[in-house]
Amino acid sequence: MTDRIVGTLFILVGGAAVFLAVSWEVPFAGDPVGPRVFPAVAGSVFVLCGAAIGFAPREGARWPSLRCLLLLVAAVLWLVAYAAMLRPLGFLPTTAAVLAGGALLFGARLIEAAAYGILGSVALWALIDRGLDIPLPRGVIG
Amino acid sequence: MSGTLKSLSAGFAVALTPLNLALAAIGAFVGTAVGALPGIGPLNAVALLLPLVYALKLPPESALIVLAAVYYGGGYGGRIAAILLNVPGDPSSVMTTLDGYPMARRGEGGLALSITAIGSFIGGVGATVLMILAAPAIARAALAFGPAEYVALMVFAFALLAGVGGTRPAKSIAAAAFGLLLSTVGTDSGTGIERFTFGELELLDGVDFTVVVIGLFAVAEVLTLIEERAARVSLVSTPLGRSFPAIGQILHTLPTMLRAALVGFVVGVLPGTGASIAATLSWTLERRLVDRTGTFGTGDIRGVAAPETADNAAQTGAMVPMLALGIPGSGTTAVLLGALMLYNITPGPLLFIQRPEIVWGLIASFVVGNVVLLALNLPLVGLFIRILALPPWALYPAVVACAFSGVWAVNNSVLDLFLAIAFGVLGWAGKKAGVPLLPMLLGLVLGRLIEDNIRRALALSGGEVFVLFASPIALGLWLFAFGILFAPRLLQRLR
Repeated sequence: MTDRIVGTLFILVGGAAVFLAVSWEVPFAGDPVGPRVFPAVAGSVFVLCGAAIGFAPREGARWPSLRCLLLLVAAVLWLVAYAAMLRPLGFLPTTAAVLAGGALLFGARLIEAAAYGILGSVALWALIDRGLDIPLPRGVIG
Repeated sequence: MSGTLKSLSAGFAVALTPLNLALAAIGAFVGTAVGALPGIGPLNAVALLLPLVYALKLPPESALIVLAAVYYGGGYGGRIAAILLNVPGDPSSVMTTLDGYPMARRGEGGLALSITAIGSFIGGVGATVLMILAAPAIARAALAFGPAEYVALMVFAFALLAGVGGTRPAKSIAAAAFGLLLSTVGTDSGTGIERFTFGELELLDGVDFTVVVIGLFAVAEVLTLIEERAARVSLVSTPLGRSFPAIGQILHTLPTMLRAALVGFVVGVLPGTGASIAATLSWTLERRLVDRTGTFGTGDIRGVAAPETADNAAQTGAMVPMLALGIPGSGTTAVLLGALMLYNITPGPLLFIQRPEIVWGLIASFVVGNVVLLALNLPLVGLFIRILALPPWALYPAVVACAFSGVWAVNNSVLDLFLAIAFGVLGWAGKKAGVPLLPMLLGLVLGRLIEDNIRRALALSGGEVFVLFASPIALGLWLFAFGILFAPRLLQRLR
């Protein structure tokens, strides 16, 4: 089943890439090949491989349980929230929340997680923003 | 020869500047520490450091020196958990557990750690010497390569990866094709038209390499770890015993180490193979050659030294095709190559002539870094052992925070953060579905180079496609590539 889905996805993505590449309008040709051929060929190879995988599936992929998948979806949403909030809220509060939340996820006690979130985010900020002079978003603090 | 010595001393002048010396030491320390941690390997560490190094605007030779030091430092660190916990920190340390863990259980953990530190040193420095001897010849030979030969060589590299990797070739080739597609995102240099940018201004310069690397090797790694909930390993508390080997033990192991350095270097140079094959091959070879009493696998000092020496020699050997031909043989060298490309430097034979400070500075830094690592790993090994006791809850969230600060540091872009998450999910799903990530990374790194060379070759020939196969070198490489991909299938049919 996994191989069938993977193959179908490859065919769709590759086909879309080929379709887009062929439809580009090239005002002038700098060289005999032009910018359309390479992505079109790569996309076609992708489609062919997708067909080979999808039409002759082999077993072997082992997916995690539903509970584990939900946990992973939650983790990804957690990351998306981190990315979305980083600029408006600033590095320190978001990173403290992410570190503490992640620590809880991996089995830390509440007090450990809280201390870790605060100390860890300040340490990282001190190292990168102050020490290496790479500005991090300040958000509500700045 | 005198030319080589002159280049080498110029290289030491670069490697021994205070900045580069400090970077080599920091890289070596970080590499050993990260290599010692279970679940995170040198590739992850290099991936995490890459955006920071780039954002700091370090000169290219300094960036390469620190990233490379993390890489081979990781080779030193991987052995610690393998010997003390029977948990290989990375795939190349699997063979180290065979003789290392029995030694640790006998109370000879200290001896196993120190002899492998010496072995890693001999592997790293020995391979560097071999590299110094081989590099000019390889660079000279590579000068015969025109655009057509380059294209053929890169196709050959992909074929090796697909044929040797052990995964289904269709999946490897698909991954490579996807990487090539990704490399075309952005403004086409030849005509200025936008390809796959979907009107997004931030994509005009293409998908940032650092973003893909962080996604595939930091975010995806954390997702995998959440899935496995990495069981907390407990440290065995057997006494380490004496931690310096006797001179007699070193002499007893020296021939094994020298052979393993040679084996590791040769295997490392070949693309598509790598440190784990080198370690396996070297352990098996030594068992055939020197194991007369059947002690290999029960805690033989030579059995623990051989794979660790070969491991480090292979890591250094993998730098040769990366520097001389621009063809990375492993994930980490692909990242290092991508790092060079971030500086608009194209690796290859001309690099030796145009930017000798990079090539020879890096080579000299291998010697410096290995000396630092030997010093770190003999007396300070206890410090790294303590790192093993770090709880996972402190470790993995920090990887996420470092990854995000790194991606932010490069472009201050929120879109890049979302892309990194997307590539993380992609990398995790790819691993699950048996689609390898390395060909994709290679496709992304080499894509522009391949396309440019094809277009250059065909512009020279006036659009005649046969020019790609015209020279004997190019034709031979194409034939080899197809042979590797299709020979196993054909042989099966014939039977």
